[in-house]
Amino acid sequence: MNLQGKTAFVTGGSGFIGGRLIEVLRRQYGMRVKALVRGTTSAGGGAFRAAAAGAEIVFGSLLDEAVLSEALAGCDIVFHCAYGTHGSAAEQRKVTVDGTRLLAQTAAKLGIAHFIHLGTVSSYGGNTPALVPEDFVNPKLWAWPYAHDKLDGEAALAAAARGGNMPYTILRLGSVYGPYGAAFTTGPLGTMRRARLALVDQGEGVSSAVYVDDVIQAMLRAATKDGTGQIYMVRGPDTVTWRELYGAYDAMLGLDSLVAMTRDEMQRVRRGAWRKAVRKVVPEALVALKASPGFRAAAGALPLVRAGYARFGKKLLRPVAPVAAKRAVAADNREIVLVPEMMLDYFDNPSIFSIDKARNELGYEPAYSLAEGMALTEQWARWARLIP
Amino acid sequence: MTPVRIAMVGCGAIAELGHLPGAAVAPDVEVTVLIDRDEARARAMADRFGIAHVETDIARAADHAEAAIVALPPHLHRPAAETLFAAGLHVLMEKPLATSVADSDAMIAAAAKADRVLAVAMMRRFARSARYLKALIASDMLGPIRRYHAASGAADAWPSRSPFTFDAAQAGGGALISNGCHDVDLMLWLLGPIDTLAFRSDSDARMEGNCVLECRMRSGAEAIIEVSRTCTLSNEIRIEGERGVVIAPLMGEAITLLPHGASADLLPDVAPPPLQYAETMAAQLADFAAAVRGERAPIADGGTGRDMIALVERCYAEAKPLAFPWDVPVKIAVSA
Repeated sequence: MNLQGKTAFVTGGSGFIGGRLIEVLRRQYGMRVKALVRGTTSAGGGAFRAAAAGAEIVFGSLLDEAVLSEALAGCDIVFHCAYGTHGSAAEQRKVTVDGTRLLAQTAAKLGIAHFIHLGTVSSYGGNTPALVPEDFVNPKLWAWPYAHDKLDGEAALAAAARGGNMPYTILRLGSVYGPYGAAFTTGPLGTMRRARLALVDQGEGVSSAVYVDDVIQAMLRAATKDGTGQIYMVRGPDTVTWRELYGAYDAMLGLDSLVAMTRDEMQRVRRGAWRKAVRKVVPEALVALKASPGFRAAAGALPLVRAGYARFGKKLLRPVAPVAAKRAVAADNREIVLVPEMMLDYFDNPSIFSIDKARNELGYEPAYSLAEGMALTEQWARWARLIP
Repeated sequence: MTPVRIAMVGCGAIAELGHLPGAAVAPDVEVTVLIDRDEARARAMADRFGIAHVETDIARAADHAEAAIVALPPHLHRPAAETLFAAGLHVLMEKPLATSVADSDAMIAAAAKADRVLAVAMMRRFARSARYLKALIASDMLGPIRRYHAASGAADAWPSRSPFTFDAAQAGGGALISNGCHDVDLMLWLLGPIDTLAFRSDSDARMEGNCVLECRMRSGAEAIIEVSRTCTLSNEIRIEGERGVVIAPLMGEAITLLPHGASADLLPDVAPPPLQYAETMAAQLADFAAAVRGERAPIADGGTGRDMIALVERCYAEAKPLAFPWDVPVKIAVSA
């Protein structure tokens, strides 16, 4: 498909990748773009970014067929960047899986010429081969709901697209960083400004880092091909470890924030944090419960643990640093932040995800080395006052 | 003293989060009626803030009040003001005053014809930090002002109940008029009129997410205002004078003054006190009430609002592209 003069519908239009895509579609291709944004009361910086680029903002839910039907009318191509990010795990899954299904079914009904879907390499799970081929199927996936939900979203798309005879392409992305990126840019930058960040096993896991404009390149290349239901992986040109990726942020900040810890050390920190938190909150919980007028009435029916958790759960979950890491890189009393336990496998994964298929069939060639991508990211981060 | 009876016209986010909490702690005013086309919303707010009456028609405002706060999307400001002035009410208009100089002039004329007050809600002028800055500059303690730099940016969602801020026709523009009007107003209030300006925007359709306004003031000072609604910036003003530097929040309770030669080590390493938002809004209402009682002109009147819109129109007319160094065309590399 020649994109010039065409109309695109971008879900996740207020998000990191969707936002950059919209800028490129508008400025480099002159396309008409409709961008789906959840609602006016939640429309923040990302929605304004899309509006500034000239997108028409469509407020509504991915689960609302009427909104989707109206918005998709007259569109040629769908770029599906959205997934569930708010609410409970069940609510997020509903958006990621059911929302994708509904969008694909509606798009197929309206004769959309190509549906580009963003997936994730985390859907391949752990214990992957040294070089993971695109069609690798792992019988044992990680216990990370996001990875499961994204995979099930892909399956929902495939079924709806095949049923409706709609061309589609799936791009499974590595760890995308760049201006406005949350998970792998503002997240670590924000953490490392105030705390030390613990990386598992020396941070030698492979990050599959990819600069956002390389992702956009892959999306554009996919869009210009026929959508035959293929899956492609997208990562940057280099093999970048987590230590290298986050070390780039350390260098920007002029800090020494990375701490190498083994899984056992992390586990000890988590247990220590838990014990310390429990020692602190149990007396507080008892005082609060005694002071609660409804407590006596509810005490007979409500399990004590549930009541305590409801009142103090957030405190219990906040990580603290009761012990100094053995291999802390600097005398530094800042809090140590641990990667969430369910994501440890992702950070510990030594596998390299093949982009040969994307290279051969799409002509994808990542253009930004880590140094080049980070140089642009740093310029943005300084302007966005993320770096003092 | 009998409080001025106020009609709150529009029950959106700024009414809920700003004007009504301010009125609740302002002895000079009493909000007697909420007016919104969404009656259920108005009634829920009335219950929450203890307000006696709810109406859906602005024409009923005079039944309950002698003055009104108007917090509607900007394209509705002029018709609302004309209706209220014709009914004999005074008006505190939410910013921006209007979406054009023509509408601003019409509102000023309508206020004059009805002999009623037209104030515009430049509420940052009522923050202690702004008062300190005004006093400091007026006292000449800093000496002649050389440079002024405001960085104003918020990426957080403002819980707007309608999408008017995404429509230039309704909002009058993007970040400059919706958010930056406060920053422009403070600059004009503190430094006086502009001589020359350069304006850069990231939108070619008055829907900028980011913009930079560079001015040379008639006083000779150079001023820069950066406004973003895609990123959270420092939200500080830095003013350099011949004798020292002052740093202030855009809206807060304290400022930091560093006379030249003084050591920054003397500054206390403690967080500044949090903004007393409701009290700041209450101060604005007290100013409006004093104007309604005929004691003095409001601190920001229709003319203030009009001057700001004139400057915004000039910016949009002269806008140049704002090119960020990281925003380069996507490289479509040639495949090996």
